[in-house]
Amino acid sequence: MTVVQGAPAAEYEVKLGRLSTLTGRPTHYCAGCEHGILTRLVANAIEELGLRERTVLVDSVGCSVFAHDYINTDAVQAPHGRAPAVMSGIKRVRPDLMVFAVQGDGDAVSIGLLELLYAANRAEPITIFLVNNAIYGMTGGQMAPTTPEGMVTTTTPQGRDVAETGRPLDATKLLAGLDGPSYVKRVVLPIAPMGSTDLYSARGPLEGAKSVLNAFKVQMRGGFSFVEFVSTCSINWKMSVLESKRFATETLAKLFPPGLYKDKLGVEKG
Amino acid sequence: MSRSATPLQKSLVDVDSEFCKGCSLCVVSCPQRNLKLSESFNRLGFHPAEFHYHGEKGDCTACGICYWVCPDFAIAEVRRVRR
Repeated sequence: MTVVQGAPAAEYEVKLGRLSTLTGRPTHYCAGCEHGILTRLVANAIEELGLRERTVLVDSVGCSVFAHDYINTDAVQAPHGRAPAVMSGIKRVRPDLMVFAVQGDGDAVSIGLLELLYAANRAEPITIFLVNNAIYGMTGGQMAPTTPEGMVTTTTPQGRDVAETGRPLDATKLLAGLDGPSYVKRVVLPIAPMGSTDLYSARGPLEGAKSVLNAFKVQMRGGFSFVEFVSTCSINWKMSVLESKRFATETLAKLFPPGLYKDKLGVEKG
Repeated sequence: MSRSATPLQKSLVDVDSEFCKGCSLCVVSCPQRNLKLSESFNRLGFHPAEFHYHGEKGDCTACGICYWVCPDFAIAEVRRVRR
């Protein structure tokens, strides 16, 4: 920590500080990745609820696989896509624990869609955070079910052809259509360019912090909560960090409109 | 680190320059333009963000936006003077 000359630290109060729920390791994520922001939001929510000792993180496969390196809770590694199944098991054996997973769109919506759908349909009291960046990030930018039409990826060099591969899959709408889930929400997490100014709005992360906290509260009341975070992957989209924020908040946000899709327990109202 | 704080500063943002990957999210979202990318390198070879109390548009208000947008936990603490 740097020493401030002329102003002793005792004169300052810490408004936002280091969290005991973070291990304090530097992340392996690329510069500007929303995974890091979400890690901070989750750590903050667990700290605020005071549940660090009673929380289990289930690692999914993808860029989120090393989440246990950064979030200082107990963790279990699930097979690819099977995080909701592993979480159901933990929750049924130990209902006093809070269980959550951070999943990517390749993990949750492609290989693990069945597990996600049935865990939601059984209304298991678990929390799932889906980081939807419309591409397979860790494996090198292949087409995901959520890839928008015409997007160039490693496996669709001519752009995604929806006649051949179908329309992009909307996991939030899919789960909101079921009876089981109690809380289904979609947040556009990246910072958004504001009009003609060169300033960016931080509404996404601030909205995300609220949603993460509400999702945990729903689980504590015994409901299934699911929050989708529309995110970016600047490396595999072959864009600069700020170009990717613009693409996510202007183009992807139209395809995946943010909003509260389901709130059975009314946690959003307070 | 090039930071010259005086007792007149009402708030402070502590940037952990070894964690920073220079993504510039805090730079573009700071409403008062108090953060800039440094010209020097950190150990990983990135240009880390640097805090300046007197920004382009005004002094730091400890709003905490940089803290929430930072993906690398590099904005470690936001402090303000105790009243």
